[in-house]
Amino acid sequence: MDEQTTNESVGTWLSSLERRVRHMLGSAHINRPSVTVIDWVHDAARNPVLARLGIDSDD
Amino acid sequence: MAQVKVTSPDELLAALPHVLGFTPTESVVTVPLGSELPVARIDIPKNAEDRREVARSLQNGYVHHVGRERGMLALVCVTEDRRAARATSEALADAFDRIGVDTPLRLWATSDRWTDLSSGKTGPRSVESVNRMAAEAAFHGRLPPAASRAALAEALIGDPMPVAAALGGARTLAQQIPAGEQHAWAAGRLAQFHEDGRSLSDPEAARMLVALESKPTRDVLWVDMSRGNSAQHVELWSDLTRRAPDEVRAPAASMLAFAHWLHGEGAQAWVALDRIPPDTEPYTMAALTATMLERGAHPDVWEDAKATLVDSEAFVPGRPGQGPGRAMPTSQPAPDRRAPGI
Repeated sequence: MDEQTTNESVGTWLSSLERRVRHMLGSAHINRPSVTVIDWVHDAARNPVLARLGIDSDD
Repeated sequence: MAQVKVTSPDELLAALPHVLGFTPTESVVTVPLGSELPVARIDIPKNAEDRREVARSLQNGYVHHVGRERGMLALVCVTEDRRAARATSEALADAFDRIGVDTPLRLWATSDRWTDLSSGKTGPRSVESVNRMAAEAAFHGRLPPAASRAALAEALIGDPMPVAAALGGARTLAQQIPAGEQHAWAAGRLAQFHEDGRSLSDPEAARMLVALESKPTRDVLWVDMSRGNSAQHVELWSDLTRRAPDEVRAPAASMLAFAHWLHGEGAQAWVALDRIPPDTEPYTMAALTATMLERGAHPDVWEDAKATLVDSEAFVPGRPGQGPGRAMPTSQPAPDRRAPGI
């Protein structure tokens, strides 16, 4: 398989991926975000574990 | 990596910079309690209209992550404005309740005190907790957080002059050699970076930035990204985004944004997208990443999509520097389409 064929394959694969990701997100269009920019953190290992919810005052 | 255990609101507040990667101010932060929901941070809304918009945006993001059982979040309003904290906390508690998420802990934090908005309990923010959380984060190998979100952005601004001086030579070289040779060099240099982590020299950086202008070459480097190597991609593309002159920065900044998203770091991804010069031609990869960030898409979407495509379309991308994988029937790559606003 030559280099050109490889490049075209990856390009086609990414185009398919892009369509699929948009489908997963329920979005048919690409849009610039609205004024409300949310900073998401998707890393469960960073989430602090709250040892208990009955938290007392430090006073 | 072990999770940090907190036992008081003071400790929870001290942990937030290490979760976000920067110290939040005038923000609402949602922290999952006993579940794998994502963390989110957003500027605290100051009026009723903005509160509705913030509530809608958070609902739209979280609704995809709530399972059969109700989720639980702590709501933390970091602001000097007590009225804004109370109104925001109540509005968001109602909004989350409607999508199956309880908010049993609702805090208001100023720079020196915290208040439990449900019980009225209050307490000081202590240096001891800040130090303990910093020590825990360091023990787990995490970098110190930036002083602010703005500081994250400033860290991506470097001196473009050395690479700018090498761009002419890189462009001449690109015109003189076959496209396949340039493509192979870029893939090989990425593979080398994975091996030794050595920063690119100025001529190498210029050549890589020129090579990225070819979308087939960029795509091979893009599909190399995974949750397992996202930290290395963040390191590489951060360096190149800092050093890139305006004219060649969009692809590198887009790669960096995608790598940050894959690494779970939303704020850092937004900051990378903001480094794309405003007069740049619309760039689809940037727009796609922005959509992921806006919707709160989990990085597993990337791996899931790759796995699904591998199953259904019989293509396994090769590792950079190790040659191609299996090929699917070929057609021309779709041209980069214009996206509004990016």
